[in-house]
Amino acid sequence: MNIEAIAEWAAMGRHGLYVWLAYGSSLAVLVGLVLESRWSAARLTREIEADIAAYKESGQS
Amino acid sequence: MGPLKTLWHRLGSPRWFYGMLAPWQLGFGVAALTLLTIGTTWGLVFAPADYQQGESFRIIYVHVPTVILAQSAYMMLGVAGFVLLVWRMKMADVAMVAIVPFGIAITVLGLFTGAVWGRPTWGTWWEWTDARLVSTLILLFLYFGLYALRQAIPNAESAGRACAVLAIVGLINIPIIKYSVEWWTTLHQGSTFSVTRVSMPMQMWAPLLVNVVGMYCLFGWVITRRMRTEVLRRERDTAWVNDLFGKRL
Repeated sequence: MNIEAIAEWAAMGRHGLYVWLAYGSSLAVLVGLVLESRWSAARLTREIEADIAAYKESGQS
Repeated sequence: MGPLKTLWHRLGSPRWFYGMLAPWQLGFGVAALTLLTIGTTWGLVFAPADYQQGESFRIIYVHVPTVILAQSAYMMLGVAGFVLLVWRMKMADVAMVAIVPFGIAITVLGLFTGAVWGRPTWGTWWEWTDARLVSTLILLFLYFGLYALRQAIPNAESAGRACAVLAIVGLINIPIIKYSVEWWTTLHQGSTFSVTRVSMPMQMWAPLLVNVVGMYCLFGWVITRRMRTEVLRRERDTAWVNDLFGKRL
């Protein structure tokens, strides 16, 4: 596959702007949703672990 | 006790629920990544261009799965709301909390990709007189309303019940979206995708099927991940959560 063939494919007829806007926005929103779901889980895990660590420390002193 | 009844009783245990969902989350994640990669590559590179719409028809491979999930997710919200009201099952409330953010994101995406497809195809981004478009916008407002309602009521139990009522009432919008293209003469075309009735050439339909199934798997991953987080958040002061995380320290 040469460069011209790839460029022609990427141009999507005259509709490259619309096709790539749709795919780009979908990728951004779906990846964002996955990352936010993971981050909120990780944040909660850190909070719980900090609570447990603080509790253990207070128990030992 | 039958296996269904056993499952029903186990669903009352947050600890069991949290652990049970872990393998489902992994499975949905792997399946979603695999299917969406295959379906999208197939749709973008290998599927033939439409003889009328040209290359812009490829937008259906992201638009159709997102709008299908926007409606399916809402139906599951309604079912969860019903289960919460009738049987007071706490995990149904957890499911509602998990579904709403997914619903907002996927409906925004469905409306946006539809507008981007409409511009080259109909010559307009948006049409207020089109029933399919307006009823989908109402779906987005219902999701926003459910999110805002929960934030507005401080008591978690009352918030859950109020959201359940709104979710059930809002179900009326789902058949309106579905039949809008038949009841009113609209700009939006009739149903593009059906599992039982193939209305387009196989090479165009197959990648769409792959992406629709992939999007359901992505929904599965997001919902299981968020339900597990919500269970932990509600149970963070209990012994089983302390045991679970205490071991790692």
